[in-house]
Amino acid sequence: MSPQHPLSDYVKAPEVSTAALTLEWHEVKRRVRRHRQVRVAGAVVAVLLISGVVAGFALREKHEAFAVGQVALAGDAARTLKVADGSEVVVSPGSSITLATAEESEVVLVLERGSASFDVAKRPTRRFVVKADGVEVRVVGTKFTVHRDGRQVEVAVARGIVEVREGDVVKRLEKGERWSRAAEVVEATPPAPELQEPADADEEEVEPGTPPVVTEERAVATPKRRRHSKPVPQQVAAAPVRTAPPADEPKKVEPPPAPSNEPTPADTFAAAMRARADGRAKEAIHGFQQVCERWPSSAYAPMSAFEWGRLALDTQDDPRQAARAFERTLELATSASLIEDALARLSEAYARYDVGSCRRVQAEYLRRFPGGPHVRGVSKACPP
Amino acid sequence: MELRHPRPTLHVVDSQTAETALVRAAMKGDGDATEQLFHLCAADLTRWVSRVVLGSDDAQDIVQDTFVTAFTQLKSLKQPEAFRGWLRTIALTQVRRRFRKQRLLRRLGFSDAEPVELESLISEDAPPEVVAEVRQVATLLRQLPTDEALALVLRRVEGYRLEEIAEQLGLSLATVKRRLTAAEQHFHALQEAQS
Repeated sequence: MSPQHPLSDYVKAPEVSTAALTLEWHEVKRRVRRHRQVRVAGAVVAVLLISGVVAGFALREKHEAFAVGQVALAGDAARTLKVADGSEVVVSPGSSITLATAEESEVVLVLERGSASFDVAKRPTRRFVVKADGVEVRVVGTKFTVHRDGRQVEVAVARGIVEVREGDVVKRLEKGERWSRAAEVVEATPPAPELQEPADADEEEVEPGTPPVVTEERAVATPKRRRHSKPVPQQVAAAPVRTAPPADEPKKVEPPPAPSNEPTPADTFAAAMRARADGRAKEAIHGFQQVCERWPSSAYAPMSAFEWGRLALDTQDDPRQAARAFERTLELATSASLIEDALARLSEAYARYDVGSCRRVQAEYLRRFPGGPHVRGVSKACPP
Repeated sequence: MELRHPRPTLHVVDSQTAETALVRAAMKGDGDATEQLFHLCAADLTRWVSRVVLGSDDAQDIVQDTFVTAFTQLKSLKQPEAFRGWLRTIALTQVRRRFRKQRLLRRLGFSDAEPVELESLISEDAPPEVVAEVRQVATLLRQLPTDEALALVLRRVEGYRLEEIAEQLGLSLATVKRRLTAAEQHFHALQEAQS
């Protein structure tokens, strides 16, 4: 097969000049340099991409899988856990939560203590429930936080809507709202309406953006609750909100935590509110009095004094006791709105048995709150 | 060929050793050594490629592409002393690529190649049967499958042994034999047809 004489002996090859080779070399050199630049750029891009992937993977790794029956304890740092349905649970430091059920139809978590935030994957056919000491929070696709401190349970909704169930009572919380079992209050996100007079020094210290605490209508409902010409728009309550102290009493310092078998001001206040809502006025008055007497520096004391006065005047027809309660409110309160309400109700109470005091309080109210919402009622409160 | 940056040490050793030293230096990123290596090998490679493609105008482009590939992949060369053989392997890869591209263009109806003027390629003292054979190989080079055509050219034009063809084309010896047998059959068929 091998040819005897290769044809290359008779095939002429072109002459290659030195000049042509020099030109050729410059072109080769240019292309090699360009090739290296492209390769370096590609390597940089590849490193960036790999770094991004690695970083993404590392971030993903931080999301631990949350197994059924697993108790997630967060030590010094928060932990992020992923439930099988795609929902994410961020357990705050020092908190403990258990994944009780993770099925197609239901996911149930039990918060033993501390706080946890939930970013719930939207699945209309699956119930997502968080339990905290008898309180159930049910959602369908939202982001919210549940905090538990002993018997105190708080729920704050960041997105969507949740239902809070406690026994037969069901509350619906929307975005920005907060619920606390201890005081049964709902916080609204909009800022408090402007006060009729400049905010006092205490209020100026309230952290900007801190939502006001609005007393829930159902929780404070009584047969003859108010005799104001119009409802008090922002009835400030000393709510037991851990992260957002009551707007009216920012300077009040909570007493050191009581032993677990001792009632706390939050517990007592909450119990009094429940008694009031159930129509047990005397029991509620007793509770509010307890808070004022035992924990006068508590954030719950001013509101307790005011509620005590309202109950005494509205349900017990006891203006003298009511006047004492409202006077006590004025001693304890630093919030302009609470002082305004207390003065208005105090003039009502004095009007029934002490005209002189009524006029004194009336003058005080009109001097301090000339454009206040109770001007009309206070102006006519005292008998001639 | 005059080197721009001659290295005194290279003049006292034989050409193969000098070339290998240049390759080693170029592999370490020595730009001057790379340039000297190009000047040392470019003319030879250009002539060889011109014979393999039998006068195609692509020879110069193929040589340029070959050196660009060689110098960007120089660190992957395992045997510096085999640099020239490695260059030819790269050059054959470039030839294959171009032949396949030309074949595709022809199938699509785009003929991008001018007819080769073989007279200018063949020596004036070539016997008539050699001239006829060169024409037949040049014809088959543009008709046969690429590997068959290249095996035929390396065999008939360059006079390579089967092992050398297998090494240059990166094929097994058995594959080269099959390709070459097929190419030779076409070659003889063409010879008979023309006779």
